[in-house]
Amino acid sequence: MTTTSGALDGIRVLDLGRMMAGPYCGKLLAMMGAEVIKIENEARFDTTRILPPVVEGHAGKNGSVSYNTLNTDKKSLLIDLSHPTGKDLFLDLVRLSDVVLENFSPRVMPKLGLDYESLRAVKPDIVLASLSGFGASGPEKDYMSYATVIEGLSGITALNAFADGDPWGGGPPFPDYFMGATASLGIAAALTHRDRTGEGQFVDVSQLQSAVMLFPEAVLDFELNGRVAGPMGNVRPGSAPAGVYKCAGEDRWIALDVTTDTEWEGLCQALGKPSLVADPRFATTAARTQNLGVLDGWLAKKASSWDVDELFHTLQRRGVKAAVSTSVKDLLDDPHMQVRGLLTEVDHPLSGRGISVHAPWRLEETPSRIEKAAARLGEDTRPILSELLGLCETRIDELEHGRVVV
Amino acid sequence: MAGRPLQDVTVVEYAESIAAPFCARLLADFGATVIKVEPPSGDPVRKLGPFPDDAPHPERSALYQYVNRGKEGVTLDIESPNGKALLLRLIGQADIFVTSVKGDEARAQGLDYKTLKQSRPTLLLTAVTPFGWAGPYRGYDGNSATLSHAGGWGYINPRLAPTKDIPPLTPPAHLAEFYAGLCAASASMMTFFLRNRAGTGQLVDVSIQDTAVNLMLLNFARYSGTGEVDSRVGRSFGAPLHVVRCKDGYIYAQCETQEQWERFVELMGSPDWAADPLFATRYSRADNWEALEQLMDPWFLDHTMNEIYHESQRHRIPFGPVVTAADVRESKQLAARGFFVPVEDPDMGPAHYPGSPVEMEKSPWHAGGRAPRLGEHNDAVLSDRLGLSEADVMDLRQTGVI
Repeated sequence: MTTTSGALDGIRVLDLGRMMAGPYCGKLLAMMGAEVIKIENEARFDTTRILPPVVEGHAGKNGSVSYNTLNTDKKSLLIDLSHPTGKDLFLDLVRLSDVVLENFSPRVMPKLGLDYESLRAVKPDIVLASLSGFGASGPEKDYMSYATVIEGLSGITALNAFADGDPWGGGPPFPDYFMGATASLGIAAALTHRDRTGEGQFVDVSQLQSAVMLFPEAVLDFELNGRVAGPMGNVRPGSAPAGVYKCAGEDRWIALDVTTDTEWEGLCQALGKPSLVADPRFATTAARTQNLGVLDGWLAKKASSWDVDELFHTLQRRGVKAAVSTSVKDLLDDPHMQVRGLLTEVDHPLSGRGISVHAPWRLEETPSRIEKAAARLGEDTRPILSELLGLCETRIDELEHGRVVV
Repeated sequence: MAGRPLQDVTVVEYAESIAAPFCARLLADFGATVIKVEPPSGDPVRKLGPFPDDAPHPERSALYQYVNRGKEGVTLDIESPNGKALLLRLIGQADIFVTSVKGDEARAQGLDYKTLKQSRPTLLLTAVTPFGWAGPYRGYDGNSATLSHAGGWGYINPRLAPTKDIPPLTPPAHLAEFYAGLCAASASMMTFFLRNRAGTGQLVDVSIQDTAVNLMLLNFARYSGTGEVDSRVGRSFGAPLHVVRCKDGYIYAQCETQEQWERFVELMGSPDWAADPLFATRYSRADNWEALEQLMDPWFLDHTMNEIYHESQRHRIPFGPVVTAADVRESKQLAARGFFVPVEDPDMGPAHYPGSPVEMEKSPWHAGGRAPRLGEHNDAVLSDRLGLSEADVMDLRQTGVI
């Protein structure tokens, strides 16, 4: 067995990602040991660089905590891809790379003369991963996509609502993470295929498709039964009771979900009401579903006097699926999270200490890596041009003056 | 050259519910042979709908079908010594073992990484469990309804609630479990890539809670930068960045850049109020959202979701309609991409299911086949793979092991 420090050791990625989905994918690859070179320029930089919170002062495009924790362990290279010489420099880098990753609108790369065929011409086994809202084909391919657009179009927003209530936007921009993780799987599969056959390929990722892939239930219900079901809030089909209940203190909530009679028994025991187990109104899931209103009222009343953490552990010890509806601050203080090591701090010379999040999987032999906050805009331009492309200082000065690498 | 990344790769799945089986399903999509081992009572997800005609039946769950298509199905009672021995023999031939068994139980059963790698050093073991194999909550249980809260997602949902009296809202369906399955598949593929190069075995420990926590990356950043703890209430980062009512439904409206806002003002016919300095920047629009929403209302209420979607997009304004499942199924874009794939299943009848999210010409991400009936491949797997005689298989059947 060879010892390695990362699953993707030796893989070089040119990351043209902007905002969330592309950069998140690049971060996943970087945490697995890939060398990730982020390519921007002064005029067309990743706008997350100025996303609040930004430190006060003269940090310019380097002061965003969001950017700096989302682009960990990436190098920063400036190239103007719309300049002919810039494009040539980029293609020289493609020759030395394994993966190109981008999440522009599908019009951009062809317009720059950098579509898959152009990259393949200089590096036959290159993997080009293009992440876009709708994929590179179809009548809506050129439509703009943010997480919000896909949340709506996937059917998720319509059901992110309390029963009979208005739909709500939901929490984090989850469709961006869905697409980033989807792309990381596609890239890993393409690299595996390349190792086996010598072939590279175009990996054409659709954000809409990645969201619907993870949300099949409603569309299958429509397909099979012609039904368009409405939102259910915190009630769940097949679960009774299920819900989110307020506990003692300020904004403290417990989520619980009972799917079996054994769990129901555990819930009654945990809440000190074992007599309810024998109550025929609640004996089966069907009966509990019928009397959900009564149960809901009882649970709301019971929960309100409990400390949420105590209730969480009490329920879990009785085999009931439960969780504290937790804030990011709670997670940082949580003893379980501390053992998991998922959350870590990285230092950035301008934005200071920021919390970053490791890969959403824990690998025994090749752990996720977060060593360095994001590079400052252009921090690695000169070293990359000289060490990787072998350009001399004079030539690099020339390129700077010609505004090719700024 | 033809071929698929995981052709000749055998995955043994001893897992139930959604997350771990969905991970194995995705590996099947890339050409792996997946042998799904179920207890004789079946994976409990067989009891979850949707069912055709709403009639529950263990062979007619569309959710089971979706999560398990393209696999071979074997039943084994691993509580019995014979059943356990057969599972271990199957794992002994496998490249990847995917399980939803919790860590302590896996250790008790000899299904942990340390034990299994003694006889198979290159084994990839992917465990997908509610709280992961390491950590004090490793024995605790959960599903999407609870783990999306444990991950912090529920606490900030809905976005922009008017008060904290609105309870945290559980994200719909099984998003947390499906996302965990996707993450587990990506990790399995990356570690397979390394194993293929260097012969490295691996334990991939996926906690469904961790995968939900991962979605909080920007919220952690905000907390580090400002000390502010995001919740459901609070100010938006910009406006519009809101779900807005229109003539026949809702639009998720977002103007990320000033140019997008200016184009939107133009699309609305450049009303006078839009020049008010109150609405000059994304931040001032967010600060004055209630006033702004009232002024925009007449325009939104005068147009349908479809009109607004296509008109706004033609003007490079990123608005999305809040569509229903019917619209998703009937989407022209998804049809053009060939996203929904037909699945022929004798018990389910023909139906279209969501397919793959990525087009890859050389090594297609292809969601093929149908899900196995309970124990459908018992004979094939036990006699062909493990070399059991017909009499042995008969015996296992009579003693209830399969």
